[in-house]
Amino acid sequence: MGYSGRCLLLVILLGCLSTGLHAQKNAQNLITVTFHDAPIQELVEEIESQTDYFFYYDISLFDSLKFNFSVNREPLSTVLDRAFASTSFNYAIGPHDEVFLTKEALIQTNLTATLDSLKGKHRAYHVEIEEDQNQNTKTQIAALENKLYQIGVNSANNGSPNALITGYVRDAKTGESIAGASIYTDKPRVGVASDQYGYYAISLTKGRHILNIQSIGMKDTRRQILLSGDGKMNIDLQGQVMMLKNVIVSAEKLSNIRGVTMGVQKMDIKTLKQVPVVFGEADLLRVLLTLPGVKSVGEASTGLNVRGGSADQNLILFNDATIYNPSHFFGFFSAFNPDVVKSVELYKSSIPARYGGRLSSVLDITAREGNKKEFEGNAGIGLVTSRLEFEGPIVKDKTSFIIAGRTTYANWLLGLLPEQYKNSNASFYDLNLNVSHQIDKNNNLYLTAYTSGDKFNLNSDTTYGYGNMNLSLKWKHSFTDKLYGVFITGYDKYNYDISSTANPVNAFKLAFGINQSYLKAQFYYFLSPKHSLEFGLNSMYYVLQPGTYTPIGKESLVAADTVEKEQALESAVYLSDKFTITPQFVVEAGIRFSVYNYLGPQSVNQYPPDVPKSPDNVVDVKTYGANQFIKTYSGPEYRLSLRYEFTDNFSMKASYNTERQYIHVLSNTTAISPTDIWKLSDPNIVPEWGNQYSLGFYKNLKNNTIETSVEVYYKTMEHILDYKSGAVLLMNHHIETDVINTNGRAYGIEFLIKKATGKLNGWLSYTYSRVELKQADPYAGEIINNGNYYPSNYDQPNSATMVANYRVNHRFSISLNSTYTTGRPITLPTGSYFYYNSFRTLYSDRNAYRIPDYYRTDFSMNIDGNHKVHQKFHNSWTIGVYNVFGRHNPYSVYYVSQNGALNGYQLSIFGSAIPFINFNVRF
Amino acid sequence: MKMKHWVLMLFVLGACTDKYVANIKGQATGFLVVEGFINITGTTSIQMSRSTGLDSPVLIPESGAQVEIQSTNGMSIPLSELTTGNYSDTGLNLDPTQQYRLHIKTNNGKDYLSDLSTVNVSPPIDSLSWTAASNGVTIYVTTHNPLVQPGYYQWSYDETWKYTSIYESTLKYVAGGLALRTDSELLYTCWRSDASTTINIASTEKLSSNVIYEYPVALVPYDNTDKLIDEYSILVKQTVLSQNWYEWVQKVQRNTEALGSIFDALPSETGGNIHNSADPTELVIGFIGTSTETEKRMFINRSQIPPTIVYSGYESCALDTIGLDPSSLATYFNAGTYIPNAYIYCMGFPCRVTFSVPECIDCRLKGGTLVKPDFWQ
Repeated sequence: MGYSGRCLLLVILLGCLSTGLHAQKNAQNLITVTFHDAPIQELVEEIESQTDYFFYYDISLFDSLKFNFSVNREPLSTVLDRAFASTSFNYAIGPHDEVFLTKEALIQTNLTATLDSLKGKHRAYHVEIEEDQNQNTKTQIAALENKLYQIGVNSANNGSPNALITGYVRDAKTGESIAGASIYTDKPRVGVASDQYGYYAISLTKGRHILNIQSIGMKDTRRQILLSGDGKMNIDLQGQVMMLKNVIVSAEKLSNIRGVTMGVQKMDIKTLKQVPVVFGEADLLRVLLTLPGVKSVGEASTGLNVRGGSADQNLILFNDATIYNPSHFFGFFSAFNPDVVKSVELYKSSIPARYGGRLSSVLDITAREGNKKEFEGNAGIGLVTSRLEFEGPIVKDKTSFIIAGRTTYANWLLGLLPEQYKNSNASFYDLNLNVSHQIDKNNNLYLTAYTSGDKFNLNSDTTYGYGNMNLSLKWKHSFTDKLYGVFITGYDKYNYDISSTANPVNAFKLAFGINQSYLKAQFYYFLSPKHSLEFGLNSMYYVLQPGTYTPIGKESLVAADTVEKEQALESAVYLSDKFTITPQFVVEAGIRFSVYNYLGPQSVNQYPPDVPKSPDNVVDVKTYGANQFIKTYSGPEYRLSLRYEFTDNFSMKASYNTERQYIHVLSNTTAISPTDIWKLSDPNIVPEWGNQYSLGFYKNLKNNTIETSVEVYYKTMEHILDYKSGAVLLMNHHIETDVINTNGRAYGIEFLIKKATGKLNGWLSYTYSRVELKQADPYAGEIINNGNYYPSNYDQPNSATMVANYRVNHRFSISLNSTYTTGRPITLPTGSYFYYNSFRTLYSDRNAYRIPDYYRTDFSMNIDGNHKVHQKFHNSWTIGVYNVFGRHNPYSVYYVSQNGALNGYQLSIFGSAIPFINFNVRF
Repeated sequence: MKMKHWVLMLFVLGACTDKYVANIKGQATGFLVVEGFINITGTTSIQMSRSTGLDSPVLIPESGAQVEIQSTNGMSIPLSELTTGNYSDTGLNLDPTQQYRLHIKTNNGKDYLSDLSTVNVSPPIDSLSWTAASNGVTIYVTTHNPLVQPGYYQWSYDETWKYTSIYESTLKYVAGGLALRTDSELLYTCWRSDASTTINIASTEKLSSNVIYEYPVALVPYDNTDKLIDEYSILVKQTVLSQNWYEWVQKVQRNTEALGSIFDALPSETGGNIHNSADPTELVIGFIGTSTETEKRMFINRSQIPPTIVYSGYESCALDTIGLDPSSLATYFNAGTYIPNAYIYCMGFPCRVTFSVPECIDCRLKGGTLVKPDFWQ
């Protein structure tokens, strides 16, 4: 009997704890059935449908049994006697209409009497159910699914018709928590999703329910519960490794319909790894670009433009740490190692109130916690990078770590350069360390450390270097079943430097840096089945070093120069309530009040009102002491979203949100460049402000395997920083004189069809969107395009993407990715003139032309080694071609004066088909 | 330099550039373009033209204008149009304490004034130097000025190089026969000159003193040019700009030369400091400042350059021979299709003549002149 015996024992015990002691079964439960070669499931379903009985049995024990008999208005015992006549199967009928089917063993159902005396003393006792951790086989899963879990102790004193179930959803194999799993019941229709810690809380009426649990990449499962009072239940999900044929329902198939948050796109690492990208290494920023509403100015940039926002308007969080430069190699690769990424969520429309500080979107990257049960690792070798990852338990089931690193050997690429560049080199690396520790059932600690570095040097001439460094510590504490809090503290740092020693007299080093320390407290409170609240506060202290310029070497005549450091404090309190008015109609309303203080020490230039800010117009320079409040900006930010479900698979959502942004990138290049600097709002540079209205319709087809959606949005943006012609952004002591405030508007409609499961899966999206800017303030010193709206650099009206993945068999799948976008706007010369012995271009209106349209198709194949579970190494290959048709997709077009003549060129980043190959091994 | 790095990097990654012709609607033509500077000690030369379309740029000189230098003490010096669109005065010697501007009256009756500018004095060029790398010779300029800081410099240069054709013809075809060339009739050695076409500027803003050390002013490539096959000379001319003048030139450089990288600065409008007196919104291209000019010349001999393969442009040349009979000579040389080169002697007497196409014998066909410049060593 082995395991099944253990399961049954558990069931008996649960049966004991269940309280109602109806001595006898209901005599009215008479059954009329006819079976021809019926399996056990049919028998059970038929009886359950006609009576109040509920069966517990191990399906695997009955798989060879077929029933052939009929009865008319007979009680259960007669039916079962008939059914199991001349077999070794037995049955037992419990006091709560439970029916236990066993082979050989007979169950004693009357044990409860002895336990009953304890009942009164244990009213408040919460039964906790920990599932057996090593369940792998189908039969065991079936046993879990067919088991009845008693949750809570029935209490006569507690009149509430509802009870709350809380717990963690985890991966059965590794013990890692699963974020975004949906837990729902069909009748009544109630559903929640697990948060980033895998924690969920669902409130249901007392009584019997079937909980369905689904998550991307995991097998769907369900739990039968008998809810008597508040209690905990942890749920382990099985990975979907070999589930080619058995994929029946889609993971999270209903979240797009039921979720209240609009315009959120979630992807797990499996999806990310399927999409072919250049050089073959899974790159989450590139995959995000295939989603509707997400664009970039070109292939050399990983800067995302979300719904018309600029690249600095995205809050990029890696386990709550802000990543200021999410790219390597000047934008060709994203800075996130795919081995440590668990999932990515992009909020582009309604942004939860706990987030703030950026206008366009929040990109929330959740890192993996590491295997809590056994040690394992991953290694990958590609054309440009290789990576190594190792993880495992420190204390089994309690503490785990994951450590991963990536490095490049792109120097061989540089070896192809002409001889005079033979001393060139380029390198980058990133390192991750995450530790997750469960102190006890109410306390968890999470440590995230991340560092990345890039260095690029051409022939010992100019060296560019930049790096991120992040450290965060998170403590999650459950105060009660209904209230838990997350307390986060951390430190983020980004810096870059440029140095050149080629000319000893001019040898210099230029450095820029920003660092921030923060404290966040987030509370999640399940007030009632109708209200779940989130509230909290956070505070961030910025120290920004806008630039130091120093000589290198004794011969250098470079004059050391430092732009004064900036300090600021950004704080916010927030409260939001998810109000379930009816199961169909849910409103989530939030308010966030942010306060920004620009702090001393600082000297601030004073300008009279209504004149352009220019060095000549400075009337005074005010000096402030350390930590003196120089300027305070504050204001409320509103977050409102609502969802109405017309039917089970059709819903409508609407949202409105406002955002404030106090830190900005100053750039006069189209692509985000590693030498862009960030600037804090100060008395002369006001914060950016934006709002967005959106409306969407969501419909699922074909038994929820196909998701479709349409979303429209309109947003406005105020005080975006633009620059004046010929602006100097580096080492500028009066930067406010070189930038101007611009207002913008963006609108669009996004269509998405997605098939998440099946042999053929993928998505198809189309977006029509515009983003336009306007600078008409006569006091700004410069009016752009006569004060009319003009398209922004990333205004690409039409855009369509197809991502398709076809699993030929367990070990072989192919992926195809196709993208089309309208060419981005560009400022082209409109005339020429002869000057300095050369024809030169004459420019006029900004962004009046467009580069040619962009079209690209990529192809890749994933070949897995064999799937024997117990072998030491599992390997896989990814082979593919980026830009299959070798199309010369323009990155930019430009005119340049060469040898006296004027030549127009179109620059393509990848001017040919780029094959790639990657080898991965898991151990 | 920076831009070139990016471009190279891109090519390694599979990047490529293709020719591009934009379809520009409503091209901006006909704007007044004024180039030059007021040189208070020497020659002031102002070139005026009109802007043209983008597709087939042509130089349209602005002729028939009245141009004069005005000073703050009320002096005005008219410039005369020496060649079409080129207004100049040689041998000026003006008061360096005054401010100057240019006054232009075009022949369509419009009146233009440049902003007043103070005099910038160019210090002497301390030295010119050069280094040879695998791709060519880089020429550097070094200067300093202890009197002013920071200094804003602009350099232009004239290159002159001596080169030879591949065959040194000693014979000419005259009156149906061959005759020896006199020294003045030799076609072997030429000199050619070119002016710089790129903007070279540098400032000492970021330095503690006004020192320019080895600014790379020119790169003379080995490939596709005959500049370094014999002897090369460069005359570097230095002017000093004011800060806003420098910023304008820098903007022109960014807009017209430093494009094509992945992190291009966005192009911006190019105006200047010249305004229509009646209509300040009219776009006039150009910046007129005041400076003195200093210059220095340097020679580089082929023998000084490391023995790298240097392009000659004569790789496809070959000699052929014919007999000396008049009909053969007439067939080959009468129409100038070929040029005789030298006799071939048979037992001490000319019996045949070698010849080649003019491109392999007459160095002038490569753009130079047979006249040795005065400054040539």
